[in-house]
Amino acid sequence: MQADSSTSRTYGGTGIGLSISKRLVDLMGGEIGFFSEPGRGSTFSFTAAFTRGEEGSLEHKWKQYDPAFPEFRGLRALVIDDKSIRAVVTKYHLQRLGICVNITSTMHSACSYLSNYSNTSALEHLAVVFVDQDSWDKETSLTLSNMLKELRTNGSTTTLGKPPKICLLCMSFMEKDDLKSAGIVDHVLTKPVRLSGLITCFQEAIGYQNKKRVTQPSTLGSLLTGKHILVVDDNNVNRRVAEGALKKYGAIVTCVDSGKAALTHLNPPHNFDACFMDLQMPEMDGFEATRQIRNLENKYNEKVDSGALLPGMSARVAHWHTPILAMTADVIQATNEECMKCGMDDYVSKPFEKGQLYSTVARFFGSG
Amino acid sequence: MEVGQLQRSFVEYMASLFREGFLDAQFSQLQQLQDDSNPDFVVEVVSLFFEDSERLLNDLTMALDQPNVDFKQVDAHVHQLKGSSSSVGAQRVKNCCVPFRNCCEEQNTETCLRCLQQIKQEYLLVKNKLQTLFELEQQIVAAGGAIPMVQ
Repeated sequence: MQADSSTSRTYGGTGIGLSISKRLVDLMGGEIGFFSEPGRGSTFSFTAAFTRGEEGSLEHKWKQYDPAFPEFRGLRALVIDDKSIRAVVTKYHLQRLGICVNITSTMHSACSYLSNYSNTSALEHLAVVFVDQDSWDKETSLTLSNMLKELRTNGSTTTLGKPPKICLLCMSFMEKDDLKSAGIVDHVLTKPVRLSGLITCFQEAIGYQNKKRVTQPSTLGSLLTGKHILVVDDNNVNRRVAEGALKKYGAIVTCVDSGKAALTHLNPPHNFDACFMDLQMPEMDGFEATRQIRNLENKYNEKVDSGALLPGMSARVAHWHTPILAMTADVIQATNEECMKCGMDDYVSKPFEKGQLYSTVARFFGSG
Repeated sequence: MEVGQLQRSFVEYMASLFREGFLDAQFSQLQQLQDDSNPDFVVEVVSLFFEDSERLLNDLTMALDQPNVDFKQVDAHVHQLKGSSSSVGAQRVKNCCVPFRNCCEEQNTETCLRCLQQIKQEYLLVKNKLQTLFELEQQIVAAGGAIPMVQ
């Protein structure tokens, strides 16, 4: 419970946080305590009982949930917050996305920072400036906003081609409207800051076309887990490596060694969510196999449309189109018209490159 | 040899293989795919690569030994070898394949034979290196140690 009711009026909150924390600490077999001095501050501490973890288990876990946002890599953010610990926490969230972060404590010092580094690579990739509402200074805000706009027009080559966005971090949505409508603040995030909020903010900053709100960070694991994938390659080493990579992300993989076998497996109805197809195979190559698969799918779809076949019989889709992705070591061959003409949806390099695999797969399986 | 020494030798040996170009980043990728649910992945894939390569090298030798060489067939074999060496990260073997395919296009038996010779050499070298690496791993495990992750 808070010392008096004026605390919640000034700082928000109901005092329930402490009860929750105590409960958590109890569950962890520990004790919570605090030292408080009115007018100065409080220090909270707790003990908890842990057991020794397995060697390498954390590595494995983190690798599974490694957020893959190749488009954010190399971007910078500036955090303006006079509470250093809070600023560091914001920085931590951003760094998880692969973003480089600088911290300043006031808008004024941020302006100095911008003018000191104005023609350097330090500001080249600055995408967003996060300002905590506590550090918001109305007078300086206009200066800051103008300085950011100038960054793009003074000839420095940037990857973004547009001014960095200003994002306000505030307690509630109440304060946002007038600042946003004044055109100074581009984006508002409520605290506590969530990863999904930061992602949306950055996506807007880099001009992401997808308007859909991201609810959780996507990873190859979240896209591929449980998906049935067919791998077609006549070389057994390539098959094994592709299978290993896809299985690592939780896919259920079937391997076949020929175009002909691919036809058998992808004749509707079937269970596969996608197919990775090698292009150069003897007897029937990837192009021909794909052509024939599309043929089979078209015939099947016609039957369903004409009523000759009930879609319920296939139990899954009324309109068959299995995503077929070419695997190729020779990118030129793949971007060739022929690839798309025969009905392939896209291509990935062989062997797989994680970032490319993610962005290609995301197109077909959405973002989680 | 005590575990610490073995582990250090392993790390140095691995680093040298990358430095000297025998292995490339794809091999690291394979190592990253290995985990508790797939504990022998690297050895499995590399063994497949050895089998596959030896078969292909034999096929190549026979194909180039014919009175009328079928260069399309030779090229197809080299293409396979390029693919599999690329998948395991056997960089030097993979790099031999491109000039080899050029020689096939020129339909020059002489130069093809030289390419074959070179690729055989590179293959035997990397096979030797990888086998040494796996032996070191086994020694470490036998001595009760964990195999260091090399980034």
